[in-house]
Amino acid sequence: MAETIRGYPRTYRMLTVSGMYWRINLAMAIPVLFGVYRAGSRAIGIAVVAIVTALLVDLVLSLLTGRGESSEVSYGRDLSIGLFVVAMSGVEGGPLFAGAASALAILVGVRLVGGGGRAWLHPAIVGLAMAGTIMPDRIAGSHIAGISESGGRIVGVVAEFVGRTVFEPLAVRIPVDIWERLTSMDAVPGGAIVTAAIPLILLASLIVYGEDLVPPFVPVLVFGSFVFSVWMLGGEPLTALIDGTVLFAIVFGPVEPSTRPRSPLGAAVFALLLGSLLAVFTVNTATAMPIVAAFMVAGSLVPLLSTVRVGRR
Amino acid sequence: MIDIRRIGVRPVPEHRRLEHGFWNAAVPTRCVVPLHQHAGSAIHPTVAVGDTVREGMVIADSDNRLSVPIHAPIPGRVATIGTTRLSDGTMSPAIGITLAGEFDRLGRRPEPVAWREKTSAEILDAIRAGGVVCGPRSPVPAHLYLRPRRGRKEVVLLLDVAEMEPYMTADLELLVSATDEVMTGLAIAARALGTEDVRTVVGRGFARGRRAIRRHGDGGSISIVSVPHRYPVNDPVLLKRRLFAMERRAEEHTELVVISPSTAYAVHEAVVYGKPQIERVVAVGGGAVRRPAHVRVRIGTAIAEVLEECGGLTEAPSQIIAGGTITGRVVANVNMPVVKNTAAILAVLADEVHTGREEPCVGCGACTRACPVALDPILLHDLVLSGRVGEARANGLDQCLECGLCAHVCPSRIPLVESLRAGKTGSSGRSSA
Repeated sequence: MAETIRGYPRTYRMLTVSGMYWRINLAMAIPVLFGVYRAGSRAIGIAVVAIVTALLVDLVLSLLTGRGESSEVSYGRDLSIGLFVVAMSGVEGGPLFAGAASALAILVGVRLVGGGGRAWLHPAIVGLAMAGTIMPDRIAGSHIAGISESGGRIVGVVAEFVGRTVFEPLAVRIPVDIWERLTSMDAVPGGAIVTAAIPLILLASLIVYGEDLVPPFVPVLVFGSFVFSVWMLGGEPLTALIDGTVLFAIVFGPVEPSTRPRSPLGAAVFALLLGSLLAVFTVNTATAMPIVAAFMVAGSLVPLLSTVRVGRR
Repeated sequence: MIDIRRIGVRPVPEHRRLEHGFWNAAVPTRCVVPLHQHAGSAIHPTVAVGDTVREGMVIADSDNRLSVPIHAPIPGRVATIGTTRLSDGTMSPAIGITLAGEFDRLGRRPEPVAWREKTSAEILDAIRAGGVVCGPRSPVPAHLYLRPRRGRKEVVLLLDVAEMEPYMTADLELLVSATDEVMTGLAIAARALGTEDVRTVVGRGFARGRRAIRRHGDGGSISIVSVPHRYPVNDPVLLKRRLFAMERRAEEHTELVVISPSTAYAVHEAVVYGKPQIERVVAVGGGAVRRPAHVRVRIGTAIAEVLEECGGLTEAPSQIIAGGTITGRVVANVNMPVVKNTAAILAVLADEVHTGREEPCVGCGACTRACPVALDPILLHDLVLSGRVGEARANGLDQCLECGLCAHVCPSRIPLVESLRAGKTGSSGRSSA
């Protein structure tokens, strides 16, 4: 009896690439759909255009390049790219910006500098950067907002009291409108679609970490590095913390496998670097797209950081 | 020093836990006994078709010391002398025996031999005569593995009760059920080796094994090394580095000899009672098995009969595996025989296998994080496939333990172990055995 005996393993951990992307999409859809619902009909158009463009461009390119139909993996990745673009786009940017970003993400981020598997940079970041370069007037703002002095609710009073007694000695102030920011149903003018979807981003992060889609130390280090760097640069770390766009990028940016280095040590260095860059670019208002800039700079070092390893055991 | 707590991954729990203890399976009416059951010199049949054999009688042997004899697992008549396919895909000469005659040892236990009065050489001769092999994945003759080491090397003998691969629980059950025999076998092995440094390594969560060792008379004098519940924490290479780093011993002056409870038991039976290794305890599990349990079966029993012993199958399995769920081999034919290193027979369902189509690497780094020796498996895989084996060796290819963990966690289902093994042996990356 002729047979081919493959090497082991005989069984696998549950997660496949396709399964991984569908879980990412499920998690990402929670804050994005909330942001779209809150931002109204214009945001629906942006979401539809961004997602459909990503899927269609990939399908057309697959047919043109003779690689046949896109696989389930490709569809999952396309959808995740579309959702990321929607999250980072501003309502004022309109469907044109989102569609261009999605198309460029697939065309350049996936097809030209990536492939079916590993990509050099996060494709959605590549698309957003290129679309932002072409249409600079449609970029959503994601700088750290100034502290609002309004308030008046009990939470605001408590926040002010805690801020004065605990945080002020550390030169940190609690924004008195923290409750409004966390629960607001109004879109943030000039901000991205997920700017105020913080509770839902945190909820979605449970899926991300519960399913082990990214080593948890990566976002923790990005987060810590970001907050610390904002504080060191004289910014307001707590204000930065409740900025939904940055939080979304911290949670979902490193989830895309090609965005982070393979080696654990390299991933840790990358996370610290990314957090610092996010802080530098968001505090410095001269940068038009701070999140995109931070990911571009840190991402360009990923191939190098992938080779950074602890000594072999 | 290696932080052994962070090595590998927590094993996926079994679909259904196996019953504790074991029973003797029904004696098969026909056994096919492969002659290639270990690394070493080839052996040749000492019987002919039509000969009558007794239980435990030598049916194949060689003059070469680098081999062990094979014994008849059942009394009967030699029906065939031919070849059979083993679960690793290789062909082996085999002797088929049909049950006949009577069990001349049935019901009476022979007088035990005073093994403490035997020399190391006499013990090793008895072990060889018993046809004892050790090592679950690449079995070697036990009399060669347990021979005294020359030179100034210190030898540490370790009883491995920390097998973490799912379903590989037969050794633990044997230890719990036959603690005295296993611990005596360990003492005999220590005497053969000429060492007094004897220890046991027990996985956390194996409280039954730990209690059994402590209950045993000599248990108090044998130190127990506790290791976390992570696969492949009991790999001899990792254990050696861990133990010797803890004690600041130089690895080049110390040798670690690791044996399993089943080997210790077989050593005991061979030396104390002169009983050859003609049976072994096998874990029978997987989602498709009606009654997951441990059974003691005769070597040469067809895998189908072992599954029947446990009530048969409830539904068609996705795979039948000889060995564990990570390093086991797919059984292409259920008439393949159980051999001396078959520790488990699994009939697993599709939802236990989680198979998938091979996809391009997405660079998630799961393999790098899982590798117990901190290699970069996908880098080595790419280097081997592109023919740059020298560069792969410079990146630690030869340190690969072939534990299978990198491929086990790979979401792209890339056959990493195959290519790494091919790189180590110098063949092409996409091989099939």
